[in-house]
Amino acid sequence: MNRDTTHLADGPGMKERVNRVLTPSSGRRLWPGLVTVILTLAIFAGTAPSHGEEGIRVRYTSGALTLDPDDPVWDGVRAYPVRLTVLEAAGPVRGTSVPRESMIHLPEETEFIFNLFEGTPEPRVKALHNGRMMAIMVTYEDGTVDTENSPDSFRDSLALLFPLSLSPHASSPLMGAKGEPVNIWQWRADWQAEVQGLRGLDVRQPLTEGVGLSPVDMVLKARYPGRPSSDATAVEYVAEGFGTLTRQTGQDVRAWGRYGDGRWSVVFLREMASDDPSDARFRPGGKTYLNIAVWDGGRGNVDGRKSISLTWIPVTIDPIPRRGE
Amino acid sequence: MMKEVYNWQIGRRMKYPYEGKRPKRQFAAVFDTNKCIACQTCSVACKTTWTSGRGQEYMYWNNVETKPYGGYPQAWDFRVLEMLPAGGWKDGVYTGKTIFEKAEEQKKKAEGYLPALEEWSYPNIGEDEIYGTVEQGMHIEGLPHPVWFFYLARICNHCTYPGCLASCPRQAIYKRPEDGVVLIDQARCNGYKECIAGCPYKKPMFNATTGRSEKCVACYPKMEQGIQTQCIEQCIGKIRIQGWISPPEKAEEDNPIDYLVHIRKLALPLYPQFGTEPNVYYIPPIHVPAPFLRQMFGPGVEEAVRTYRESVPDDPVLKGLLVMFGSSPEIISRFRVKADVAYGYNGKGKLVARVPTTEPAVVRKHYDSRLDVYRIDIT
Repeated sequence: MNRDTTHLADGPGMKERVNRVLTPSSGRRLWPGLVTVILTLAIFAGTAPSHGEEGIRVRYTSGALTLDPDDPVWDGVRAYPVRLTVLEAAGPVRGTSVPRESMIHLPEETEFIFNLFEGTPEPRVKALHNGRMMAIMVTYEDGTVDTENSPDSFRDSLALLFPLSLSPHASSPLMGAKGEPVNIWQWRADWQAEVQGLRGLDVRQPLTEGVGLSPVDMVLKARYPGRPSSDATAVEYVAEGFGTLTRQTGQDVRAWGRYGDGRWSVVFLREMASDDPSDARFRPGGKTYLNIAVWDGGRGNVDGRKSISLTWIPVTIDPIPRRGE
Repeated sequence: MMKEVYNWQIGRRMKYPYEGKRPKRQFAAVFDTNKCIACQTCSVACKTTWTSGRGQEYMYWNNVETKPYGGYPQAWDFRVLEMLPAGGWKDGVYTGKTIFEKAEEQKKKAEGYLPALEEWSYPNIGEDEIYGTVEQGMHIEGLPHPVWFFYLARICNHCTYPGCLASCPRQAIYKRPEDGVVLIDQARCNGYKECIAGCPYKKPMFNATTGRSEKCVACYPKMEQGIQTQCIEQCIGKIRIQGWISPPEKAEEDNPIDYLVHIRKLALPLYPQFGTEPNVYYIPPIHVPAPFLRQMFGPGVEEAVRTYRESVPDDPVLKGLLVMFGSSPEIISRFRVKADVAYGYNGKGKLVARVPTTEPAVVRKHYDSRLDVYRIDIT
C-alpha cells in the first residue's frame, strides 16, 4: 500500500470537480429535498473570512493568565460568536444523518458532505494575552457531558486550528493543505476526566488490578501513551489536510474545560513565542486566523463527523501598551 | 474513488478504495473445523501473549465460537449479512454486493457497524447450543445431522483487501509487503474506531486505556523466525496449519496451503461474499447441513465436504497432509508424501516434520498369561 498521505486539496481536476458538483445539471440529479451541500476544499482555499470585519480581538492584560474558565480576568472581555456547520465527513463508515436515498444520488467525486439543516452549537470566543502567554476561551452549548471514549462511545472534544504561515494565504481552513500546514490544538473531555480521576468507563468495563499484566502492556503504554503526558488534557497536532493529522513531538498547549448550565467552557493556554517550526506563532500587535471544530460525543461525533467553522476567523492581537499609555 | 481489483474468491473483479497490489507472499492458515473441540487453548495462548494488559480485558484476538448461535461480538456475521442485499452465486461468481460495493452507494469505504460494548462482553455465549431440537429417543444416523453445532475458531484473516484498512481515514493501517500481515500503526492510530466498523469479521478492537485500536498481529515476531503463530502452534487438537498462499494461477502442488485451498479445494474462505479475500481457510464441518455452510463458506462447500468424506480415506497425499497439521512449531512451506509418510519442510528446505499416515500399532493379547492379568488397553 502506498503509505504516502493523501491530499484531498490538490491534484488535477479539482476545478473540474468543483464545477461538476455545482452545475445545475448535476444539481438536478440530486434527490428533491436533499439536505446536503456538497463542497470541495478548493472552494475555500484563500477565501475571505466571513465572520465580520474585525474577527476576534486578543486583548492585552497585564495580569497572569490561568486555565480557569471562571478566572475574573475574563470578566468584561468581549465574546465573539462563531457560526459552525455540520460536517458529515469525508469517507464515513458508520453512516450519517443524511438519508441513504440522498447519499445514493451524490456525485461520485463528493469528498465532503456538509449538512446545513442540522443544528450546531454556537461557540463564543474570548481571547487574552499578557505579552508572554495567550489564552483563548471557547464556550458552547452541549446537552450531554460525554467523557467516555470506549469501544462503543465517543467523547466531547474541541479543537482550534491556526495556519502556520499567512503567506501567500492562510492555507485551507479544512485542516490545511499539502505544503501549507496548520497547527491544531485539541482538548478532550475524556482525558480531562481521567486526569480528574473520573473514569466513568470503569463501571461498564472494569480494568484488571495489578496482577498478571504482561510486559507487552507496559511496552505498549510506554511507546504509545494515550495522552501525550500523564497530566495532559489536550494534544497538539500538525496537519496538511484530512488524514494527515500528526501528533507533534513537542506539546506546548494546555487546556481545561468546565461544564455548567448546559455549556462547556474550555480555556486553551500557550506561550506566544515558540521555537517549534510546526507551532503557530503569535506576537503582540500581530494577526493570524483561527478555526474551530466541536465534537459532540453523544451524537457519535469523531474523526470527520464534527461541527466546524467553514472559513478562517481573523484574529487581531493587541500590542503591548507602552509605559504611560 | 474506488479502484477495480480482482478477488478470486468471488470469481470476479470488484471495487476497492485502493489499488490491488498483492504482497510478495501472503500469510495464510487452514483450520479444520471437524477437529476443533473448543478447548480455547488458542484463545488463552493468544491472550497471555498479546492482550493481558489494561484496556485489553475484553479482547480476544483469537476466539472460538459455537455456530450457529455463538458470536464474538454477538451475531457479528448475521449483522453484516443483513446489510448486504441478498445475492447468490452463479458458476462460482458472486452476483451480490460486497461490503465495498454496498458502501459505494453511500460514498462510504466499507459497509459495517460498530458493535456495542455489551456485544463484546460474552465471548463464549451460545457455547454448545444446538440448532434444532432433540426429540425423545432421537438417534442420529448419517450425515448431515438434523441437529448440529460446530466450533469456529477465528483470528484476523489478514485479508488481501482488508475492510479495516479501507476504512481508516488516517492510513494508519497497512499490509506488510513481505508477508501480507495487516497491522495498525499504533503511532498513527487516533482511535476513531472506523476500522472496527469497517472490518466485517470484527477483529480490530478498541483499547480504552491507550485510546487506540489494536488487532491480531499474526505473531509477526514469531513468523519472522519461521515459527507458527501462538494460536496455531499451541493448538492441542492439531486443527491448524500455517503457511503461504499463492494466487490461484500460481498455485504450487507442494505448498500445503495451495494444495488444500487451490488444488483440492478442501479449505474455503470464511464469508467470501464480504469481498475482503480473507486468508484463513476452513475445512467445513461435514455434519452441518449444506445451506448454512454455503452461506458461510461459499458455493464450493458441498464439494469440499464430499472430498473430506469420500476422497481422504483413499488419498495418501491428502491424508498425509491432514495428519501433518500441528506436527511442527515451524512454518511448513513445502511437503511431500511418500510411502505413507508425510514430510514437511521449512522455508529453508530443512525437514521439520515427519509423520506417518498410519500410526504403527501393536496389538497385545487381551490376557497376559505371564502376569495373569487382563489388559483393558491392548493397542
